[in-house]
Amino acid sequence: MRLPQFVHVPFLLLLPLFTHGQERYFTRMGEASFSFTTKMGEVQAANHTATSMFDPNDGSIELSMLMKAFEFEKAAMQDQFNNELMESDAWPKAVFTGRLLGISDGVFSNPRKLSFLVVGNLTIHGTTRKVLEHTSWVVGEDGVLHTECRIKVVMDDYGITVPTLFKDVLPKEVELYLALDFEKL
Amino acid sequence: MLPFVKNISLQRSIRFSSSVTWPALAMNLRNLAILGALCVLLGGAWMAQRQYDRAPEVAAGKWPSATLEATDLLQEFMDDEVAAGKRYTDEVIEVNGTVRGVSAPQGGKVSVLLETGNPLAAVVCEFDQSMSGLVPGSMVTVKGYCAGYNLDVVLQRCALVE
Repeated sequence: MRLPQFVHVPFLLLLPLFTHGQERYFTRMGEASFSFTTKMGEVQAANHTATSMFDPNDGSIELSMLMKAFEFEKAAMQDQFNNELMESDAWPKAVFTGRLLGISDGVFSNPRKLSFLVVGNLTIHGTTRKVLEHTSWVVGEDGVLHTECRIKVVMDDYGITVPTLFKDVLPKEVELYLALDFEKL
Repeated sequence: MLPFVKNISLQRSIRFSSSVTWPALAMNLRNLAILGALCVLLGGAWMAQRQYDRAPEVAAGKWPSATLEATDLLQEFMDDEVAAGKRYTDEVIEVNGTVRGVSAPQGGKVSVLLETGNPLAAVVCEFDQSMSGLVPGSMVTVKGYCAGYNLDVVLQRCALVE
């Protein structure tokens, strides 16, 4: 499903800032990365400015990242990623909106390790797909919530057209790794 | 003998050259042409590989396309994200502002947050090197490549302007 340009409006501004119950958590330094191996070597890209908000009251989580904030080792790869694959001028952001399944009250109150399924909608390249993935959580002594998740992204599912020149070089799917350190808002 | 050439070794080489037959000369020229074409091909391949291996450009040493306050930059994106994105994304811009904080996660980039007057939004400037000299409250001028607006305005591959 193609979304119009209004998806560019920062989702966090649309959310109410204060809720009853536990405080919300926020990060603006989330890490999103992916890597794959080609005949020419390993390709790695990382984005360290993903913004995300997590509400422990209902388990809702929202994440947004700029496609142009993915940095590659080589400028040519970065140009190809933005111009030929992701069309980042037209679709500048990837957005995830979802919810943790099966959380209970106060589960993030004490230091511990947890794991949950997360279900939600991932929008990349203007196309939205449902995702269901495992997430691991660590509640730190200092109250920081650390979470990690790996999401499989199949190029065709998101309408990402691989140029003929790269058809035999690029994989059909990549694994997007997310690592977020949430602090109380 | 070539009486006008006094150098003996040069006389010998001239005699040798004059004894070269036309087919042999043509063969030499063909070999030279092949060698030249190979050099051009190898040179082209080397240049193409070098261009492909080039790292993304950093803002240091680049002339900014715009200079403005961090507050004004954020406001422009909040007013009209699409228009501001067209104006600033992929461009080197120079931003003046007050440091709100410095974040240096392990293995990651160093991010300097510039104050915008909006507690939820900042101008985030990513550096590749340590920024230990910067403390909250200090005034800085930073230039970097604008990656766009994601609640924060993100500048990458930044450099401090002295």
